[in-house]
Amino acid sequence: MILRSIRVQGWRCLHDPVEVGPLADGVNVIHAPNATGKSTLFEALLRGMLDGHRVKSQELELIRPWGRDLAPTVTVEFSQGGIDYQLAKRFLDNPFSEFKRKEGGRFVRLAEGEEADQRVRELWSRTAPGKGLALWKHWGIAQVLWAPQGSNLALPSLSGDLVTDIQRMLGAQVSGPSSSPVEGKVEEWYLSYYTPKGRFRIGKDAPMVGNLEAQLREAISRKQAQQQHQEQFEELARQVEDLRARQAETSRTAQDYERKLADKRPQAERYARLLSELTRRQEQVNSAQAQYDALKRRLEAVDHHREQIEAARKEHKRLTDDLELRDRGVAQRKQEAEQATTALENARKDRPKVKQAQDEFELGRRYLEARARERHLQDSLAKLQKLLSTLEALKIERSRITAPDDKTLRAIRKAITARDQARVRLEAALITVQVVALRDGALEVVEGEDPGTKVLASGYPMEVKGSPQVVVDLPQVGRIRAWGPAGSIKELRDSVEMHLKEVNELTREFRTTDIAELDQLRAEAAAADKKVAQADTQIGTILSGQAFEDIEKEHRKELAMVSDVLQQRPNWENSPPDLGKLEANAEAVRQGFVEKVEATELTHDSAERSLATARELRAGTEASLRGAEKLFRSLKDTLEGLEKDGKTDAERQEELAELALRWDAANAGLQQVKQEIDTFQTDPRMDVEGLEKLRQAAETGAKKALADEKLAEGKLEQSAAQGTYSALAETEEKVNSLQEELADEKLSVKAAGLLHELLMQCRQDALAQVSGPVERAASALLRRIAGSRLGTIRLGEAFEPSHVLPEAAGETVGIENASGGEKEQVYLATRLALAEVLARRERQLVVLDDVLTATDSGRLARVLRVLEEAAQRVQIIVLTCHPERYGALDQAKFFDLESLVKG
Amino acid sequence: MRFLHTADWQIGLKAVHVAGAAQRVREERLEAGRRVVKAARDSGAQLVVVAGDTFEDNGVDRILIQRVADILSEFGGPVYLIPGNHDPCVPGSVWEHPAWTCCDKLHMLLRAEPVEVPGGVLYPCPARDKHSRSDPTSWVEASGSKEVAVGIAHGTVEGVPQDEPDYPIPRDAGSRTGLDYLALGHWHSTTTYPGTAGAPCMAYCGTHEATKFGERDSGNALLVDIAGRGAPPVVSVIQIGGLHWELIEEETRQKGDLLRLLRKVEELQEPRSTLVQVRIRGVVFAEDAESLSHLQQIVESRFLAGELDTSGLFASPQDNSWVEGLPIGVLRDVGNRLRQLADPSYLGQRPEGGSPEVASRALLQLYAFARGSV
Repeated sequence: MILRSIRVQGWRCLHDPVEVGPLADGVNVIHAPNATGKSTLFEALLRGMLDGHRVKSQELELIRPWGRDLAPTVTVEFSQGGIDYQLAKRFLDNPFSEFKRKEGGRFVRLAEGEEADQRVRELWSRTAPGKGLALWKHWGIAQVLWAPQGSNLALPSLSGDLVTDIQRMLGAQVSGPSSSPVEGKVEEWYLSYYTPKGRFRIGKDAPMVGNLEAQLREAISRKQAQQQHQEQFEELARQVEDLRARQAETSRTAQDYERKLADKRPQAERYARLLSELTRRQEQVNSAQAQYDALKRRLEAVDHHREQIEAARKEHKRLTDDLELRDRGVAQRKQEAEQATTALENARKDRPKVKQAQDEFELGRRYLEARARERHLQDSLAKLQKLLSTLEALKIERSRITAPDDKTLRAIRKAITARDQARVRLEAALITVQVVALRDGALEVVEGEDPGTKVLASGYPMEVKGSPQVVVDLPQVGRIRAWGPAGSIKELRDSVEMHLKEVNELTREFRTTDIAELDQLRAEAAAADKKVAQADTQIGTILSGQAFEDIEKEHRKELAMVSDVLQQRPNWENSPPDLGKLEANAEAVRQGFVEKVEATELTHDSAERSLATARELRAGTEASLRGAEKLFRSLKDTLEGLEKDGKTDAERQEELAELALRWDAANAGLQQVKQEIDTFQTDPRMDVEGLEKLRQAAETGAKKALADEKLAEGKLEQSAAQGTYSALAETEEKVNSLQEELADEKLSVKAAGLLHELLMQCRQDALAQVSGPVERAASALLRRIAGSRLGTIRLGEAFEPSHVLPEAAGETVGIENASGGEKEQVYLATRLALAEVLARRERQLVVLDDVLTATDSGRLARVLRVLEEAAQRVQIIVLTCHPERYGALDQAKFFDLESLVKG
Repeated sequence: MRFLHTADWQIGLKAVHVAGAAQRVREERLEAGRRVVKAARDSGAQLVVVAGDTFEDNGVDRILIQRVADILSEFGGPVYLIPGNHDPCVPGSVWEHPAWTCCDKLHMLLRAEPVEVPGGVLYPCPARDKHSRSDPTSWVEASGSKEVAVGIAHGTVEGVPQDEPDYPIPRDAGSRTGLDYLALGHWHSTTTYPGTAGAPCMAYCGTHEATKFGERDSGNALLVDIAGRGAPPVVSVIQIGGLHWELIEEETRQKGDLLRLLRKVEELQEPRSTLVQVRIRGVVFAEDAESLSHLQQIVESRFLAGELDTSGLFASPQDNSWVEGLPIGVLRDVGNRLRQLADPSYLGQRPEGGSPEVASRALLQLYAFARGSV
């Protein structure tokens, strides 16, 4: 598109109509000072070409001139494809859009309203802005061709359909114009399976593959279930077959046992009869043997009892004799025991003598001990009296000493130290004047610590102190005035006074402030205290916790005891008892008594034991005699019982022989039965019992097998009724059909994917072949403007300059690393290169609104040459407030917008 | 003695390979059964013997058992059946179905013991398992028979290549057992085995209706005439099958081969009872692309069942016509790349999923797009 003219009114600062034009096909420079309306022109051009006339937005309201009821209006005349057009558009108030075409030398209406908007917009972009204002992404090719104010020519990633448009423009040169329908069909085929982003379609738009796969999964799942049913059917058939075989086998086994039982049962019955006979015969033998043994034992007992009775008679006679002897022994021992008892009683009568000797000894001991304690207590009482007197004297002496205690002494020391330190600080604060006289004389202290006349001695220094100054008059010499830093020493003096007062108060009762004397007083008081304490300690030691009165009471008690003993033994006062002798006498009396009693006791005990032994022997003999009498009677009774049958000994012997014969006969019968039983090797009854159990087990097994068989047959019948194979067959057929269909569909899906992938790949290859020249063209422009320092330009996928490749660096550098001016130049070179691509079919308008502000004058001259060359293929409009920078453009057409505005 | 020998009805057949027509194929087997019975009736056969595999499996739908029993009952005379390896006599087998007891003319020979029949004695050899390495005729000893002795067995006559024996039957079973004729089942192609006198002494009647593509000489029953004990059997083949299973395997090398194949398929008769499988190997030229498309339409639409297998068919890499119709530029590049990938002998790098089969399909489609035929 070539812009022929633009007329704007009611637009921001352009209130009245302003028309710029006719514009040249080459370079046009529209210049004016700031705020004159250059960018407003640009804005009017953009809004007029891209926005719908009915668009409403807050932003659009801002273009209405402030405080005026004017409707923004723009009229653009331009050429497209060799045809001239005119577009008139008004916004906000009574908006309209009118599109005209020049026909026969005049503009004729072509479209109006939204149709006019649409037709004009399509010259630039395929992306309509919708309800709002056109955004950058809706600019279409203007994204490349038009650089607005403040953009510094920056060219971000191109958006909207522009990239596609550029790619199409570039790709068309390679693929040719006739490829589009086929590519469209390829795309359509591909999109029937995949999304535009290359994902396989799912959901309601999913191709048949997904549905087939789902059907196949379901069919396979059904097939697996039916296979299981078929296998179960076959397994049940096998089970039934096995159960039938098992049932038949167990039935045969039961029958086999029944046959064996039929053979064994008669044997078992005969065996049982023999065992019964054996028992009966054994009982006969046992009976005969018992009768024989009983008679034989009776005969032996008769003989034995007869012998026993004779022996018992002899024993009775012997025991009767022994009993008489035992009686005599007891009488003799009894007499000896009575004599020993009398001797013992006599010996025990000496016991009081032993007590008397012991009492005498105890009295003497108590007397001597009481007398010793009385004397000791008397000594203690005397010592105590003396110590108490001494203590009283020491206390009086101590009371005469007035001395500070340790705490008071520490307080005094502290007060004295504080006083001395205050004095030092006071001394330090006083001004001192020292006068050393060369000869004796006097001086007058006019002001100072000690005013008045002072005598001077030759060679001796005299110091005069004072504050705040010291004034001394030296007769016939003059007055000396000395002063120091201004300041009051009153506080220091008060401090000295205060500490002095504190010292005096603390030491008042001791009548000295001398610390040495105070220490001496403290030492004397301590020595007196020590003596008092020592006396107290001695008294306490003697008292041992008792009171003096308690000791006196104890002493009186001991004295009374001594007097009491002396009343019983008066001679002990002068001749105290010999405790040793008294004790030895008491012991000797006791020993004699003990020995005598012990000897008689031994004799007595011996006699008593002898008597008891004799009595026991006599009782034993008497008991034996009674036992013998009892045995004799018992034997005699038993014998009478044994002989009670009234038979003779010979008759009994004959009976015994007859019983022996009967026993032998029974034994023979028993042996005969045993021999018959022994013909059986095993107990046939046990065999029958075992076989019976086996038969029952086999029958139970057969019944169970039959029940199992019937159960399994029922299941089998149920399974067979389902026609498992037929169902499986149909499902397998379905699976196979689906698999074939799916395989074919997948082949189509893959083919569509492959075809699309190859198409994209080839298209990319083709585009790479044509975007390369764009890069090269932009790089050549850049080299012309900025030299070879920046090297070549690399474009991104959306044709945005992304990197430069400086020759020196050997590797790409991000565009953001370039300087502001270099960035401008890179973007300008890229825009111009792309504009040439876009302008291959149609000359296009390039608008540069207040750009190249960061480019220095040297490079700007080269930029201008480049612009002039580019103007051979594109129309260029430069909006600037520095027309002098573009003065070198010989063929450019300049428009002074300020003059145009002023009319 | 005149009887009809049939076998291998395989009722309830699983027809995975013609899944779309499977139900029809199964129905046709029952129809063929009716034709067998009709043929027996029409030929004056005294009895019918069915030598096993009446059913495809013991687990077939129980309704099918009833339908078969009804069909066989229509014969009116005695019918003797033995279980085959597909429907062996096991618990739960088709032979336990009450349908067999509804008609006293139907005789299931489930035990290996002679059975007297009108005009002779049958020696049945029923199968009791799906697989067996035993000769089912081993028990037969008919030398002493005064009457016509006919054996019925199901198995494989020695000489048929197999991985392992499956109900093996000696080739001399007919003469060794003293039978006048041994009616066999198991193999689906009609085959007769001559005895010592040269006349057939045992035979496979073959299945009454073909079961798959490429099955030789099937769809028959045999009418057997034996004049008397020791007389040579006279065996006549009766065609029963109603379906045509056409397997066409072609290799295309030249332009026009596909057109010729198309004509061949178009000429097939009785398309509604014909099942077709066309397998093409070789190369397809651009000018034949339309023929291929047409062929596919005919195969898939005209016949009872049709399948066109082109997995071995690739776009001819030498044929420039594939791309000549494409505009120069990107699409031409794409076409050339597809030609390259469609060549199975191409050793260069292939994109993911770029197999010759996929590339051929893509090239055919691109070609169709360019020609505007799609």
